[in-house]
Amino acid sequence: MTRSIYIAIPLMFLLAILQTAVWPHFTIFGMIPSLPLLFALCWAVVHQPEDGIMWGFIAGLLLDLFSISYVGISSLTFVISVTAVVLIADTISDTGYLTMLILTVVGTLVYILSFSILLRLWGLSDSFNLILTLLPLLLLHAILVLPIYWGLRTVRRLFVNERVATTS
Amino acid sequence: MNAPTPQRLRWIIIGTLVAIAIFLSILDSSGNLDSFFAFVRNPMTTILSWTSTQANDLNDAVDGPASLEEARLEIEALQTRIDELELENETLREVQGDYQILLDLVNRARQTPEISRITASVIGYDTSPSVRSLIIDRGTEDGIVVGMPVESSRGLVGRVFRTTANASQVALITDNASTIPVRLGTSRATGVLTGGGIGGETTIDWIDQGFQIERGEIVLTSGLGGNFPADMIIGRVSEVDRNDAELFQQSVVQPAVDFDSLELVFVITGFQPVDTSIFESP
Repeated sequence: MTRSIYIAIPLMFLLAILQTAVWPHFTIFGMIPSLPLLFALCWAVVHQPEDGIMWGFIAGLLLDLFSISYVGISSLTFVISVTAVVLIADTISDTGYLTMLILTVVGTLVYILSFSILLRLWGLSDSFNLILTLLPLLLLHAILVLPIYWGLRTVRRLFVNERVATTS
Repeated sequence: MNAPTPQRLRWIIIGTLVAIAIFLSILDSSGNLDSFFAFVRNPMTTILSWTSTQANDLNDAVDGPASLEEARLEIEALQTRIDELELENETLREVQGDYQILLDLVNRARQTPEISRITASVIGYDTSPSVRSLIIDRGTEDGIVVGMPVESSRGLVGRVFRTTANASQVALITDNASTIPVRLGTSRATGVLTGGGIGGETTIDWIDQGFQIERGEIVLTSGLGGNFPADMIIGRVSEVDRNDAELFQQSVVQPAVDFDSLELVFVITGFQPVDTSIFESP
């Protein structure tokens, strides 16, 4: 794992605050996108899978602090979701925008399904109604992942170039 | 000893994180981490409260292009002084909005003087996509206890689910886990209201087939169970599902409260529960 973990904590904290206090005032199709999940997925693909998984874990912990669900449930779903994406990404040689789009759809599907199952297991929900929100959430995530992917790719390129320049 | 391969290392990391997450959720569900998380949540809710206020202001600014356009036209006609008047007008409108909300709440309090309440501001909404809850700026320091009912001027909002020193999480009546004993206004039928979560419908189950339920009937808390005061408005019946082959009928309820636009709520800190002493053995 790299030092990007130190970036993850303040970044995910910021995203958790946005997710709780800002996005509910500006919903799109009545939905709130899960930006922390999108950032974790993109970072896993762009940089290092282990880092992305760790980002997801941290994001989940911070989100659970503002949620009625038990601490650890979001972390678990984020880890499962990012792991699923990492496993698929491992089998693909080239990761462009289209691939990222497909990976995001898969990641969101796994996220919603695992969240529904875990909530049921922990007795916090007795239905799978969450699945009804899947289609608008997939669409929203598919739109939002592109600028996030572009941004993180740029950040990584700058970061790596800087390191190479420092080494030489 | 050989160093683990990258593949193996990855699975070790995933396994460790999954184990920690499961361990934390078990500890949290058993209540063992309450004081620790309350300590962590306290400073975070302060930031949350500030951010929520700013977001509210921004939202108001985004929602008001029509009045800005109107103001611009007036500025042309009445020149510089209108600027000041428009600003004053905007401020007064905001005050009027707050006043209206408070007036509604005070009226509600006046109708039921036997119930003691604390006013609280909504500072955040649940981050998880399926459970429905909101965060208010009152906690144990204000006398809030888990289980207290929460209402707005329009009706029942939910129950306090978790508390910290200066904030609380309120599980909404539309949440999947919410079950409330209810009574219908006209037919006097009783049943149990269950939330449907996001995308689901809030329904009343276990209604006796003998009752003729009408659409539009008002739904109230029955007070049975002692968790909620009796006769709190919940909403109206929007659909009736009656099948003679079944023992009970079901109704869909449209909640009276618009949960997305809540700003101020009442936490009910004390009320007289329905007297069930007749059921107690001598």
